[in-house]
Formats: sequence, C-alpha cells, structure tokens
Amino acid sequence: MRRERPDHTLQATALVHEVYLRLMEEHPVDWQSRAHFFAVAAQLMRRILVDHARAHKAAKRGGDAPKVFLEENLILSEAKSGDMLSLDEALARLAKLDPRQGRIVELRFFGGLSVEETAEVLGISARTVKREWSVARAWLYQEVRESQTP
Amino acid sequence: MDPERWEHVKEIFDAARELEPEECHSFLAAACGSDDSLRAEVERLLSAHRNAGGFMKSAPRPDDMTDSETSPTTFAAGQVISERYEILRFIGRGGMGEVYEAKDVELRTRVALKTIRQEISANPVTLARFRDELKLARRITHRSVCRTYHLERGRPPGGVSPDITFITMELLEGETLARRLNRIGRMSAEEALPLVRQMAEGLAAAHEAGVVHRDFKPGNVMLVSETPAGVDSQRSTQSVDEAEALQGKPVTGAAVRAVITDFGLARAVRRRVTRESIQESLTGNGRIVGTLPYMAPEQLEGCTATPATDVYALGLVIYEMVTGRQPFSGPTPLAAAYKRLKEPPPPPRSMVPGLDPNLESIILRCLETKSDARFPSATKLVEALGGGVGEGPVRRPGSKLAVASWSLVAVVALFAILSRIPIVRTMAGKIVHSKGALPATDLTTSSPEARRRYLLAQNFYAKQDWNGALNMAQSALRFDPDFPMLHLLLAKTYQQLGHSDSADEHVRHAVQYSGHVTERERYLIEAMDYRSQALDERAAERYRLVLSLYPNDLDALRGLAATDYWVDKSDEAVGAQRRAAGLTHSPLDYKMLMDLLDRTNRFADALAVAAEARSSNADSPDLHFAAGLAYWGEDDLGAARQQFEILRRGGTTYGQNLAELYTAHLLIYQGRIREADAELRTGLVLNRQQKSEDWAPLYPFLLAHDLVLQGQLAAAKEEAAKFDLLVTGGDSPDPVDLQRVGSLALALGDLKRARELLAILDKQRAQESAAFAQLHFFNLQGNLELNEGRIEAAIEDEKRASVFYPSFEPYLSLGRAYTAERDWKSAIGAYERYLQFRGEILRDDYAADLVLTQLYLGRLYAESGQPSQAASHYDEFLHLWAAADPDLPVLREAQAEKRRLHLN
Repeated sequence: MRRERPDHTLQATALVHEVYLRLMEEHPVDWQSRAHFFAVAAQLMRRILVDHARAHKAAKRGGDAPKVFLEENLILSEAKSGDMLSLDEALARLAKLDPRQGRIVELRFFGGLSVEETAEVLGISARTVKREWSVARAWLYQEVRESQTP
Repeated sequence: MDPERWEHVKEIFDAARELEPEECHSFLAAACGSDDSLRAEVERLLSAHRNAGGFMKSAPRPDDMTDSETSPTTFAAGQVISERYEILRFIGRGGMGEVYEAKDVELRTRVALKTIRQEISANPVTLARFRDELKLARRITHRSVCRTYHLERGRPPGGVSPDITFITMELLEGETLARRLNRIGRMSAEEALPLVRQMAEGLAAAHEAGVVHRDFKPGNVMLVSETPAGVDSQRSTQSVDEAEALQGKPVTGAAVRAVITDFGLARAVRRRVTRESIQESLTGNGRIVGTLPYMAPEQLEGCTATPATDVYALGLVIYEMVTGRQPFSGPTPLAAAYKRLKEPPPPPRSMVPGLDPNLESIILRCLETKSDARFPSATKLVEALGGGVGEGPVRRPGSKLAVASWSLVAVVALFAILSRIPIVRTMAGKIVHSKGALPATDLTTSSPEARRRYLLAQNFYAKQDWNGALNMAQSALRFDPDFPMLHLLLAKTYQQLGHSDSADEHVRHAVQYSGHVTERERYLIEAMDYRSQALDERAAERYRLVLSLYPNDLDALRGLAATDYWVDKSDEAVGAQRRAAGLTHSPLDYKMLMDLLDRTNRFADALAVAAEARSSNADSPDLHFAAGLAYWGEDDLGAARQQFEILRRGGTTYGQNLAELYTAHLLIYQGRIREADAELRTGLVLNRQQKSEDWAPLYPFLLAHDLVLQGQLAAAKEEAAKFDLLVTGGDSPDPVDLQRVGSLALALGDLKRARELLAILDKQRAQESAAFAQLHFFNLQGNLELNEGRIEAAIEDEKRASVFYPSFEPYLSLGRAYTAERDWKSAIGAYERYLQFRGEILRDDYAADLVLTQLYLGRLYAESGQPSQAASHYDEFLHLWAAADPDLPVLREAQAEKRRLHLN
C-alpha cells in the first residue's frame, strides 16, 4: 500500500511504541535523565530490530536468501534480515573492545541522532563522535562483508 | 585485539583517513614501523572506509513490522460473556487487547468491550492498579471523554480458555483523529477549531478531576458523527490504537464530536508489562500503548507528568491538524524526540501563512519546552481559546484588566498602522505595578508574542539559565526584530555567556531602535550603552534616574549594583543588590549579591547569602560558583573544590567549563601546577564547545604563567604567543588583556612586543577615555619603565594607574619597584595593599601571585631586619604550597632561603 504521508508511517510508530514499552518494562521506576533515556531507547530500538530480523529469518527457513548490504534506507525485508543480524553480532564484538564506540553506534545508527546530538547525550565532543563513528562504520562494514563471504 | 591496540589502530586510522594515497603510504610506513599486522589492520579499515558507500548512512526503518496476518479473535460473534455481554462483532486490535462491539443484555444498550491482554491482567498487582486507574478515570464526566463502565472477568460459555479480563465502555462510532489526518492530510482552522476546543475541554475536565492522560495522541481521539447511534452499525468503530485497520465513514467538522479515549491506561500499563508481552507483540499481535512521538520533554527526562504534559501533547496534535505535519521530524522518532528537547518548533504560519496569529501563539505556547512556560493545564488553554481565536485577538482570561490591555493593544496597533509608527505598548506591566510588588515594565514592541517570549526569556535569565534565556529571546526576535529591550536582554545574556562582541552588537541594536521607547527603557538602554563603553559612572547615573521613577526596578537595581561596584562604591552596590534579591529571591540576584561580597572580601557574608538562597530554594550553577569562591576566600579549599564539583556535575557545558577553569585556578593557588595544566587542557576543549570568546584567552594566559613558574621559558613563549593572537586578533580587545599580553611579553624578554601593546593601549585610552584603559596603560608603562631600570618613573606611573581605577595590578608592580629601590617599607605597604584585593584576584587573575606575595613579604621583612614577621610569611607561603609540585624553582628557593636565614 502506498502511503500518502511518508513522515507519518504507522510502522515507525509501532516500533517506538515497543521501545517505549520496553523502557517501561526495563526501567519500571523511571529513567533518571535525558542521557539515560536516549541511551536506553537507542539500545532497545536495536534489540527490537534485531529480534524482528531474527524472527523473519527463522520464518524464512534459515535465511538463505541472497544477502544485500545495509544501504540507505535499509528496510528490513527478508533479504536484509541476515545483514541486520551480522551487523548486530559485529557490533557486540566492537562494544566489547570499545564500549563507548558501541554506544555511539547505537545512538547514531539505531537512534538516528546526529553527531552533535550524540555528543551531547554522551557528554563528549562532536569531534570525538565523528572520529569514533567513522572508524566504527569502516570496521563494521568490513566485518559484515566478511561474514557474508562464505 | 585488545582495547589498547584498538586505540592505537583508531589513532592511525584517523590520521591517515584524509591523506592522499601517496602521503598515506609513507605515513603508514612511519606510523606502523615494523608492526605489519598493525599496518594490515589499518589498511583493511581504510579500504573499508573507502568502499562503505551508503552503509549505515541512515537509520534503519522497520518496514514490515505491521502484523498483517489475521490471528484468531478471542471471542466470536453471538457469544455471551459473563452472561451479560453479547458479542456483536470484532472491531479491531489495539495495544491493550481486542475491541468488540457488544450488547449489554441487562441494560439493553450497546457498549464497546475491550479485552486486556493476558500478560497484563494475569498479575494481581497489575490488575489492582488497573482498577485504580479506571476508578480515577471514571471521575471524569464530560462529553469529550469516553465513559468507561466496568472492569470484569469472564469467558464465553463452554470455552476452555482461561478467564479474560475486559473493560466495557461507551461505544463510539467514527474514526480516530489519527486515521482522519492520515487520510486527509491537514484541516483548515475552521475545521480544526471546534475539535480542538472539545479536546481541550475534555482534557480540562480531566485535569480538574485531578487526572492526567499521559498518552494523549491522535490515536486516542475518536471523531464521532452526531447522527444518532445505531442507525448504521456497520460504520461503528472503536478506538484501538491508531485504528488504521478499520474503515470509518468520513465525518465533517461541524457535526463532529471529539472524544478522548484511554484515560489512565498509559499509566496503568506502565509498570505491568512483562517480557512475554513483548515477545508476543513482536511475533504477533500488533502495537502497544506508549507513544514516543507525543511524549513531552519532561517525560523524556524522567520527570513526572503533569497537566502541562497533556497540554504539550495537545499542542503537537493541534500543530499536526492545522499544518498537516509534525513540528519535529528526524530519521527516527527518537531523533525527533531529541529535537523537541532542543529546538523551538517552526512557527506554524511559516507553513500555513493564512493561519490566525493568535492560534499560532496558542500552539507555540503549548509547545514550550519548559513545562512552566506552557498553559499550566488544559483549563487555561480552553480559556485562551475562549471564542476569540479565529475571530480576533486572544483574550487573556481571568482578568478584566488584562482584557482591557489587549484591547488597548489593538487600538494602539491600529494607531500605529495609521501613523506608520511600528509601536505597540503593552500595559500588563502597569497592572503588576499597581499591585506594588514590582516596578512598571512597559515594553515597546510591535508583537504581543515577542513580548510574551521576552518575559519568559527574562524568567530564564533570572534563573540563570543563560541558554534557555538565549533561545527564548532569539525566538522572540523572529516576531519582532526591532524590540529594543529584547536586544538589551540578549546583550546581557551574551555577556553572561562570555560573548562580549555579540553583547555589544545587541546594545548597538537596542540603541538603534530606541527612537520611540519609554523614558525607563531609554535610561536603561543608555546605561547599558555607557557600560559597554566602560563609562560606568554615567551608567550608574542613568540607573539612579530609573530608580527615582521606579524604586523597585530590578533592571536598574541590578545595573546600579554592577556599575557602582566598579566605581568603587561597593556599599551602595551591595545595598542595591540586596534590595533586588529581597524582591525576587531569585538565584540570579543572590548570585550577583554573592559576587559583590566575594569581590570585596566579605566571604563570610557571601556564605550567609548562600545559606539564605538555599532556604528560599534558589539554586543555580552560578550560586555554587560564588560559594566556591567564598570558601576559597576563607581558605577552605576542600569546600571550595566541592562547590566547583557540584558545578561540574550540574550538567551544563557552561557550568562544566567554569568548574574546570576554577578548579585549575584553585590548583594554581596551591602550586599544583601540573594538575592545573591537565585541568586547563581539558577545559580548553570544553571551552571550544562553549565557543566563548571571552574565556578563550584565559587558557594560554594561565598556561604561560604556569610555565614561567616552572622555569620553562621556551614553552611559555609559545603559550604567550597564542594568548597574544587571541587577544590582539579580536575586534575590540579588552584593556586588561592587552596589558597582560604586554606584561607577559616583557617578562619573557620581548620588549618590542610590550611596547607595541602599550601603543595599542594608548590609542584605546584616547578613544574611550575610560578609566579602565588608563589603569592598564599606566600599569604597563610602569612595568616597561621598571624593566628599563627607570624606577622613579615606574613608581609615578603605577601610582597614576591606581588613581584612575582601584585595582590590584599597580600594587604588585609598585611592590616590585620599591623592592628594586630597596625601599623595604614601601614595598611591604604595596604588597599588603595588593593582598587586600584578594577577592578580585581569586576571581580574575593568576592566583599563584597571591601566595608568592607571602614569599615576597617574607623576603622584605628579612631584609628589613624583622625576622619574626619574615618567618611567619615564609611559613604562610610554605603552608599554602605544602602540596605544591616539589620541583618548582621558586619553592626550592624559598625552602633554601628559609634554611639560610635560620627562621625556625
């Protein structure tokens, strides 16, 4: 179905409902600050997307559909579910090596925050975010690509 | 790979990233040396970097998360639940569960029956809470609020499933506002307003009953056609979240009833969702409540929801109704939420130019980031909407005087149009004045909205929320760019933030637009203009004029306190500022009062004011700053440091910046130069974020002095050069900075540069004839003469400097000059006088000088044959520097001298 107003997609709203809900679940009292809220929300967006990808892949019997890279406007279609999963795994490895970099990727990519916004949430300079993001993206790209070359 | 190695890889990658291939090649060879695996890793990353293209360039969007597959419904048509409700049909599925149309057999009426998901209802605690919320929601009786009837449990007869918990409620026929907007895009104001009024009234009824919705959004508003129910049951639909799966008959504005649903449910569901429910929601059954796109800023920050939270959500909804779009957008709803915290929404009229400005004003007020700047509750919003919107000026509710003032605005505005004078004088200030609490604040502006924002900005200013004040004032500027007092406020705010140049620019604007202002405004603008030219005595005179008209005028009291201090009438200054603090009990006024007391060495008084501020619940980063200085003044360095820590943790860049800077000052005072430098270097980074022109030169200034103290003259020269560049490269360098650059050059042996600086100062004092420029001119000239061995001339000039303006710099120079002349007594006198400026020096100068002066005094007393005084000053010096870097040359000298002099 073609949507008349793309900035008003119910699907996107559905996602954040879940995010909101998970926030409620995992932080039954209240989050303490803005930074806390955004960090947790971005993390949850990641987990929900990954869960969906996983469910999708399972539904498609092992996900042996051709793999496509995560390009602009990545859409979680069946072909890309595998991508999302290997990205998630790579990101987990990266976060182990460099936890702050992991948080930067979550806020920037999954949360959709800009460099400046990410810097503000994490209380570091925009320069640092830019630098870390650039390395992280290169590294993740490499890892995702390798995981897809049999 | 281990983290350390990863850091190394990142560093090399970052440096190599922008290099041309050939440069890169040789760079890598040099950077990685013989470590081939390191090089391979970096090259692998660089190649990935070049090939990654659009990889992860935009946030992932879930496109297939709707649950199109139809899962079986819990109940089937024809079943009778709890022997009372006959299921007529399935309507839809929402976050909470399913919705059915049912017939209440007992009461013979049709109701909506909403099931509650098993995971929510299974927990008895959860269920009890749910019941409480519903009970609360039932207190609201209003035709724009969906009635809820009962919470019950039951199952179809003969069913094997466990009991299902469900709510019965008023059956509403129509479509949700969300669906409507999705279908038609946007509405005209004529269409929207009747709906807006009803929604506001519904929320108002709730607020009056003490209930906050917490999850107000278009999906929770049903638009019900006013045709009698039951005519066509096939059209019937009920609010399920978003309800997009349902077909509803289009309804038109006039005969539409807007009804808010799901009161209290957001909160009820809040603490009761389990992981299982999420799993289920992911794999199966649609969406769940809770709505990031409509959450108010305070909800994002973890604060309690208040009626103003609903007002915000309603503001978003109205905005969306009349413009067809959400005011804040971003690649993800989370990014859009972030924008809500940071930016004002684009004015609706920028998208819909024909929109009633009053409606725009109302929408923007709902959307204020700070909840206390919005309508405090929907009740107030209803009053603001009260009939006038779309027809004429907004009526300010609740006050006949206020209404009168608005009609006056209209009359004056009309007059202004006729006479082509772009002025409106609003009278609300007069009303305040007549109550006697605060002075009149007539404001000359062409826009009521600009005026309102100006007043809000002033509130932020009084709370020392400089960024808040700045944002608000700048948003006001969009409504009236020629608003003189607004420019004045911007000037003051920029001053506080350390942007003198921007401050001066706004003073110029204020002067430029001051042709038609009131007398009070004119005096205040002139005073500020004088202050920007450092003509403080004239400025003080203007403030006194204002006070003769309005004895409690805060702007004038604060201004007088600032200028009178500088013209050395600190008692009058303290008096004026005390009055201002007594009137407002605001953090700003307490802080200004503490500043005055700190600067005049009345540290204990300052701490008493801090206690007073605390007891009136005034709190701000700057109060901690002022308290830190007061503790420092009392030599309680631990307490001082603690205050700066509170400031640092306060969360603002400004506070962090200030804390770094003054922690460094404090460390310098203790001779802990290495730690201080580390602090300064982090501070420098922060300062770049803050982009404060005024503070930037302080870092190289302090670093250069530190390096001189450490005996590292070459490095000191580098910092001095940076300092020089920052000062002389600016548009209108401050005399004190010019003097500092010159004196530093002199200390580092660059006589030529020192003379050049003197020439610049000479020009400056000729232009402005300001006492402040004179002070620094003569001070630097004296320093130069002393350097050339012309001691008498130096003493003359330093004395002249101190006459022009009471400050500490000349006394330090005089101390040195008299010492050179071997006039121990006068030297001691000069240094003692210098120490009397303690409060000033702590705040504004190189703090180690205060401690070193103890050493100088020790030496002078030793020379003049007063060993006991000498010993006490040496002891004081060594005590203050007990934790100092042990290898500081001057510290070693002092220890050696003391031993030599047998001063024990």
